[in-house]
Amino acid sequence: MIEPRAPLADRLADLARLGARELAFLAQVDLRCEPEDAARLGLPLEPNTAGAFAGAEALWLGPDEWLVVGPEGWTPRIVSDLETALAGRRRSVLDVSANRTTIELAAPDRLEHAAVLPEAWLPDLRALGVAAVFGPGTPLADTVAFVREAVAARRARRASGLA
Amino acid sequence: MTGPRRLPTGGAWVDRDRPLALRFDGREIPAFEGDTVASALLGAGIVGGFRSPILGRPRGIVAAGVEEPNAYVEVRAPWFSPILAATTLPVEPGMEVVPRPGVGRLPTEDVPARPSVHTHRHAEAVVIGAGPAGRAAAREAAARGERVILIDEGHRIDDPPADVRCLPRTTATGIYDDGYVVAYERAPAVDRVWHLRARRVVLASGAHERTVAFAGNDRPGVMLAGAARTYLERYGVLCGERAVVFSTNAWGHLAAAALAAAGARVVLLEPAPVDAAGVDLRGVERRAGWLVVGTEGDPALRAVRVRDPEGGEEALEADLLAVSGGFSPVIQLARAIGAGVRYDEARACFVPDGTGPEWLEVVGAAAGEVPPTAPLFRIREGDDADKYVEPQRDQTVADVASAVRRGLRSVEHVKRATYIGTTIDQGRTSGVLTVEIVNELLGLPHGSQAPTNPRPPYTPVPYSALAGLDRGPTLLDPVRTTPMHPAHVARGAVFEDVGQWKRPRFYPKDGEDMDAAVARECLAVRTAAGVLDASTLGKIEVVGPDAADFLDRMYANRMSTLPVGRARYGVMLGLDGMIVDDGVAVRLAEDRFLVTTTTSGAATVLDRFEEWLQTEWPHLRVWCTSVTEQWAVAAVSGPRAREVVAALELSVDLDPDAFPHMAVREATLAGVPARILRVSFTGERSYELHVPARYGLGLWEAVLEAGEPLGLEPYGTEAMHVLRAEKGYIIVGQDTDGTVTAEDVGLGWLVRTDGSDFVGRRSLARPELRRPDRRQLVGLLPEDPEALLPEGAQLVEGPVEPPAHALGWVTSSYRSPTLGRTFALALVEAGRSRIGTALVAPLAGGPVAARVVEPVLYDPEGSRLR
Repeated sequence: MIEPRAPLADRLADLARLGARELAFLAQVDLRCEPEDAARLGLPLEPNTAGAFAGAEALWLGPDEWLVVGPEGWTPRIVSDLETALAGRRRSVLDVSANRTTIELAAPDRLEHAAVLPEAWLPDLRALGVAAVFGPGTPLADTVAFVREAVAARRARRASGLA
Repeated sequence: MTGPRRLPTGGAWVDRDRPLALRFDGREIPAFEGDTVASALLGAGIVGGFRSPILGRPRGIVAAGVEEPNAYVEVRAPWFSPILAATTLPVEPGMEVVPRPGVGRLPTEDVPARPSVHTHRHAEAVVIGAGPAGRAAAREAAARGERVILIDEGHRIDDPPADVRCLPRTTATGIYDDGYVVAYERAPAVDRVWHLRARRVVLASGAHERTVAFAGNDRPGVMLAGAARTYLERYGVLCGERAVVFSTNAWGHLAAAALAAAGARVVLLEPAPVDAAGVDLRGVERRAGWLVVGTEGDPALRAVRVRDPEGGEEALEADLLAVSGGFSPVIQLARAIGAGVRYDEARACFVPDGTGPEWLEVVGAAAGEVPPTAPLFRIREGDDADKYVEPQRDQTVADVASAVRRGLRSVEHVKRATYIGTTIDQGRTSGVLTVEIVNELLGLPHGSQAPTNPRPPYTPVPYSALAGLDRGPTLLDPVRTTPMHPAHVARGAVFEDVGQWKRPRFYPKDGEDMDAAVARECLAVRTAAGVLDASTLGKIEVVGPDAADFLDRMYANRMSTLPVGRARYGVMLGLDGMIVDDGVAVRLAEDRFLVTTTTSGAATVLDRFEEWLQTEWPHLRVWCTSVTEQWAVAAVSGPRAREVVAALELSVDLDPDAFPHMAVREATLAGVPARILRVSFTGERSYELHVPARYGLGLWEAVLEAGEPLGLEPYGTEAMHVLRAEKGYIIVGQDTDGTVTAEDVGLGWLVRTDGSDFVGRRSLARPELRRPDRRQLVGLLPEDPEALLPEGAQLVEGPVEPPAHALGWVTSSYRSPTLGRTFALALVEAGRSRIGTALVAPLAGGPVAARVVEPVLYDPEGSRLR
C-alpha cells in the first residue's frame, strides 16, 4: 500500500509560523459545461463567487468552468453526481484534487500582522460575502475553504505552480 | 535656533516643540518635525540653492508640492534615494540631502536602501486627494457604511474623516481598468506600493497653479502664489517681506492677502480685472492693469520691473515675486484611463468633459471648480529667450516659437522637439502654458489643442519600491517541484530548470562527475532498468463527443483512428507548418483523450487548444483541462522494466501480447488508482506509471525498492537526453527552433496527406517547405570518437576557407556509453543526401571532422521496445 503525502509536508514549520496549516487532500473536481446547464444545477454564474452543489462547494473559475470542492474522499461521489446530473449534456468532469492544495489561515489578526493576507492578491472577501456568510462561531474550516477557493479562482488560469 | 524667515508663531503642520536638523549641501539647516525639505530651506532664508539641469542656471523653490520644477534633491541619509522633490520630502531625523538637478544618479557604493512592501486592499470607494472636496466625498461614502480609502500626497491629512482609512504621503500613480488604483506610499521607514481595487474611484486631486512666461521668470525668489501661501499657513514661513504678487485670479489674490496679514509689504499686480469679492485685501497695494515685464537680482530677486497700463515702467524692490496665472485641474490620472477634456474659457483651463469610466468621478477643483481668470500665458514685452516655459528643460518661449516656426503644429510634436513635459515633474506647471503659447503662435484660439496625453505613473516610483522586499529567489519566479522531489534531494540529485520545474539532471554517487554519473545511468537503462521522474510532462485531458475530430485538427497525424486503450505519438504544427510541440495522445474512452506535451510546452499547448476552440471551432463539443499536477509519473525503462513493474502490486497482465507497446491500461498499483502507459522515450521497453500526485513519492520509493535488486537506477534528464538521442528522438525546442518541419526531422511519414485539414497543412504546400536543400536532421559521428562537438557548432564542407557556407549546426551532442563514443544530432542543408559524407565543425581549438549518418544510431528496428 502506498501512503499519500501532503504537498506541503516539508513546509510544516513555515506554515505553523504563520498560524496556518495545510488541508491537503480535499476532493476537487473540475467541471466544464454550458452555462445554461450550470444554471440548472444552481452553480454560481457570477464571476469569482461560490455556491453549492450536492453538499459540496461549487466555485466559479470561468464562464464555463467550475471547481467543485468537498471533503477528502468525496471525489468519486462528486464525479458521479455531476455525471448523472449532466448525462447527455456536453461536459467534462475531471478529478483535479492534486492540482492545488489548501492552506488554512487561522487567527486573522495575527495574519494581518504578519502581512499574509494584505500581501496576497485575494479577491474581495467582503464583497464575496465571506464576512456575512461566515460569522463568528462558524467552523474555521468552512470559512477557509471558501476563501481558499475564491483565491484559487483567481489563480486558476495562471499556469503557475504556486500551491 | 530657527531660520530668519520662520515667523515666531503659526504653521499648522510643524511641531515647534520638536526641532530637527537637516543637512543640505553640507550646511546645517534648522527645521521642525512636519517640515518638508523645501519649507526648512525657505524658513532658513535660502533663496535659490538649486540649478537648472541643462544650462546650470540658479534656481529656487517654485512650488509646495509635486508640481515643483526646480528643487530636487538626492537623499543620502538616513536612507538613499537618487532624486526626490524637496517640496514633498518630509524632514526626518538625521536627514542629509544634496541638490540633484533633473536626473537622478545611482551610487556605486552601498547605500541604505528603503525597504518596500506591496499591499492589496479592496474598498467601495478610493478617494484621491484629501482637500475639502475629497474629504467630503470620503465622509459621505463612509456614512453609507462603505470601506473608504483616502489618499493624499501631502504628508498630513487635515481634519481626517471618521471611519476612513487615510493614507498620507501617498501618491496615486495610476488608475487602471475596473477601478484598480496603484498608489505609492512613502511611509517613514518603508516604501509601500498599494494595490487598491475599488468599486468607485473619486478623483479629488485639486488644481495646479500656473506661472506666466515673462522675462526673468526663473529667477530665485519667483514662486507660485499659492505656494507662498502654503509655506506661510502650513509651515509658518514667510517667503518674502517685500512681496510683489502678480495674479490673474481670486486665489492668487488670497495669497496676497495672506502675505499682507503676516506682515509683508505687498504690491498686487492685476493684469486684468479680477473678481476678488470676499478676499480681504487690507494692507495690499492693488494695481489694476499692471504687468510684470522683468526681474532683477544677483541671482536672488531684488526688484521686479513692472509696467503700468499706459506703458510706463518702473522697478519695485522685492524679495518675493508670487505669481498666479490661473489654475489647471489635476486630471492626468483621469485622462490616462480615458476621461476626455473640454476647454473652459472663463477659467482658461481644461476640465473633465464627463466622459470616461462610469466608476470614476472627478470632483472639486479637479472637476474645474477653480476661479475664473483672464487667459494670460505670456507677456509680450521682453526677450522671449528669457521667458521660461519649462524650467527643467531650460525651454523658453523662444524655443517653443522656434519649434512652431519649423512647422510643428501639434503640441505632441512640439513636446518631442523641445522635450517640454518629459521631465521628472512631467510638465505640471508647463503643460498648459506650452499648449496655449503654441495655440497663440499658430493664431488659434485658446483651448484649440489640449495638453499632451498623460500616462501613469503620475509621479516617479522607485524601482526598489516596485521590486519589493528581497525574499530570496523562490518568489522571483515560481519554483515547481514534483511530488518525488524530496527523494531526489535525499539522493543528492543535481537539478536543472526546465521551465519553472526543478528536474533531476543526474544523481551522482560518491566521487562521480557528471559524465560518469550519466554514463552509469545510461547503461543501467540499456542493460537492466532505470526510472525517470516524468511528472513534469504536460498533461491535458480532452473530453467530449468531438474530441477525436478536434485532435485530428490540432495534430498533423490522425488521432481519430486510435482505438480505446491505445496511444500514438503526434506532432503539432504552427500555422506556418513548423513543429511547435510533440507528445503522445492516449485514448481513454471514445470521447476522452489524455494528451501529453513537452514539459515546457504544456501551457502553450493548452492555450493553443483553447484559442482554436474558442475562436475557430466553437461548435466542437470538446473541453480541455490541464491535469499536469494531478498525476505523478514514474517512467520505468529497460530490458528488466517488466520485472520491476511486475514486482509492484499491479492489477494488469503485463504480457506484451496482452499489454503491447503503445497501449494504456487503467489499473490499481499497490492499492492506488493508476494509469499505465507503454510509451518509450529511451528505445527500451518502458512503462509510464501515472498515479495521483499525493502517491507520487510513495510510488517512487516503491519502484526503487522493487527495482534496485534488479539493477534499476534512477536516471535524470541528462541520461534521458542521451538515450533518446541515440534513438534519434527529437526534443522540440532543442532539435527544432520554430523553423523546422516534421519532414525536416524525418517525421514526414506521420503527416496526413489524405486532404483532411489540420493546423499548418496549407503551409506545407509552400515551395519553401518543399525545397530539397532544406536543413534536415542527421546524425554525426566525429572522426575522433572522443571529440564532443559543442551544441550550436556550425558545420561546413571540407577545409575551412572563409567565407565558408555554413550548412547547418549541431543541435544535440553527447557521449554515449552504449555506442562507446561521442555522437551528435544536427540540422544540415540537404542532410539526408549527405549521409556517408564528412563535414567539419570549425571550432576555436581547430576543426573537428564528423561523418554524417542516419539519426537513429541504436536499435533502428525498434525490437527492444516490445
